[in-house]
Amino acid sequence: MFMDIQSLLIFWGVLAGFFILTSRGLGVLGDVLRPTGLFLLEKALGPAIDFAEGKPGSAARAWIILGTLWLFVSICFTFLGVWVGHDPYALISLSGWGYSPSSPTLISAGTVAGLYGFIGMVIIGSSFHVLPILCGTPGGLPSERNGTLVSTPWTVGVLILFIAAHNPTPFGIDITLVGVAVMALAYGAVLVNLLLTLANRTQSPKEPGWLLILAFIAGPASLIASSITNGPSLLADPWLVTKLFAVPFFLWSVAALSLYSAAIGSNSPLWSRTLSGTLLVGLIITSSAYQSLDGGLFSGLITQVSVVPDVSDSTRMFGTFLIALSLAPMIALSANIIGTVRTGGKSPEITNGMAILVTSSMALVILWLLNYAFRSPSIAGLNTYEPLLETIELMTLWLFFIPMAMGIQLHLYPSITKRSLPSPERTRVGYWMFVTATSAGLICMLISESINVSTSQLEVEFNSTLSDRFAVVGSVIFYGAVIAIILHTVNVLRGLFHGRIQLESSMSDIRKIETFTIAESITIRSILTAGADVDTMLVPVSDTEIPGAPTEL
Amino acid sequence: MANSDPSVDVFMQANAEPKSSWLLLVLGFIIVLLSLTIHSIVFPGQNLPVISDLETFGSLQGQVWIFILGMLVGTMMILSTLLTEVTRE
Repeated sequence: MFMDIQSLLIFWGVLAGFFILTSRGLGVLGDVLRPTGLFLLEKALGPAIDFAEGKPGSAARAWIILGTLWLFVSICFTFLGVWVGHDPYALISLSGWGYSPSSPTLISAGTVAGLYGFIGMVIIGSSFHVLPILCGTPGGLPSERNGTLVSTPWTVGVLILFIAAHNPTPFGIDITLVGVAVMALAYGAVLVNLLLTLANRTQSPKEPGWLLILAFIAGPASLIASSITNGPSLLADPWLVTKLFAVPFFLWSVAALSLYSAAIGSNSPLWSRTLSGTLLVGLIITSSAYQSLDGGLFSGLITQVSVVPDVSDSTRMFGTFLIALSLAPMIALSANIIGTVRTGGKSPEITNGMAILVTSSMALVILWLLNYAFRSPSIAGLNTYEPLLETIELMTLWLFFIPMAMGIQLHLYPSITKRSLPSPERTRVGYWMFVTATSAGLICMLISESINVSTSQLEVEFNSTLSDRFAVVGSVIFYGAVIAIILHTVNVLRGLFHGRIQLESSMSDIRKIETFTIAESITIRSILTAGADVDTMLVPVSDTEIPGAPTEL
Repeated sequence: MANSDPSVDVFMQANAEPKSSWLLLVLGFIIVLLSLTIHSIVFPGQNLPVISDLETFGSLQGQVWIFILGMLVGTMMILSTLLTEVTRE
């Protein structure tokens, strides 16, 4: 199902209005709103605020560490779900304790933990760190204490959704809405904190800054648009979660943060400004349709129990057109990250997250094509490939969203925690295990599902164990991801205590480089963006070992 | 008269050696590969002795508990890291 055209137009209008208002300022109203916002974040909470730490960076640290714990929960339940898919009685002995989950239940629980627990928390934690830098906000985040404190309600909300994935009505009431409400409360505080960061800026947000802030605004904007067109009854539906924490929140912010991490982590300016612009405009225009696409390219991950109303054919056609068009920003994101990380000509480093960013960028376009190819019949009303969609959604989550968030986390970890990861070797082993296990494992599962679909269409008795074998091999290989994430989680936790303390100068996001090689015509802005300063030596490429034509100076 | 390039003496002199453990690993891998090739030539179509009798992935049906054990070890690693580090003097 797609967002109807009217809602979509209102949604874009709200985003445009927000952009204009924040660019031009609110005048006297802004002067009133700023202290009010800060009062709401700190004083209004009374003694509760004293429970939280207010040191610089503490909010971002709390969010990304809690997110890592959710990642471990997510992979364990996803693996169990995948296993129970081909061996339904594997956990039968747990039924004695009253726990007998099915495969979809376990996968849903794993998805909730991965999506809202890990990705959501890494996005928010990283935004607390990155947005003040992009906006040049003096003093950083306006309220570190509130930022730290609200990680608790968010975690509680994810926990409730995690339980709801098993049983949505344990006490006779739908706890999905309770979970969403608790998360929405935390989200409101996060949003006010980030808006205050934007309001106190000393410069216009640099390149991916607008995309990041619009990602946070898109949820409420979508709610406003849907409430205007469909009435306020929408607010009492579990579908709410797909509006508030929808594709814009996940996809736009992951795109913005990965671009930031790629540029800073590889010590190179963003490869192409045109591609950054294509990404910003393209994502806003095209991927807005995803959020209400029934089992859509990305929102399929979010839909758990909601019943989605139907839409007209014209809306369906318009939405399909936008979905097809969304390949452009996907390619722009992928190319910009790979181009940026590879600008220096070196292999991407594994330990600072560059390698996993490049890997998931390459996976993005392939995943888009897979999604589009197998979802198109569903959009047209044919359910031919429905059985494959669950695996494709898992692939989207485990080959794009989660590795991207891991890359962002690996890159930002030293600057947020002020410590390095204690074991680079563990990170390298974890990277190879994760990439191999998720890609090979999920491909085996897709092959298994494809065999099932093919044999079911033959409409004859066909006895083959090939599909089962692929399913078993796929889930055994997928277990490598569990080990990789155990290594990652232990590394992240140990780093808090045993990581080498980073010097202020070495972990600064304002980079300084000693030499800069000029291979072609380049603007001074690009050189400065790369981290050069007045003491940086500019070296023409002819003076280096790199072969090439002399540079005209 | 032979041309003597001084850089030859500098660059053609190897100083570092790979770790012995890696050498053994690579050597072992090559021996396994050679053995498999020779077996397939000498005994075409026949199962490998001992190895072919071992149950592989097929026997893992219903063996999810082996993997859950691994997850529990991982959980213990994470919990012990958290507990010991937080309470460390």
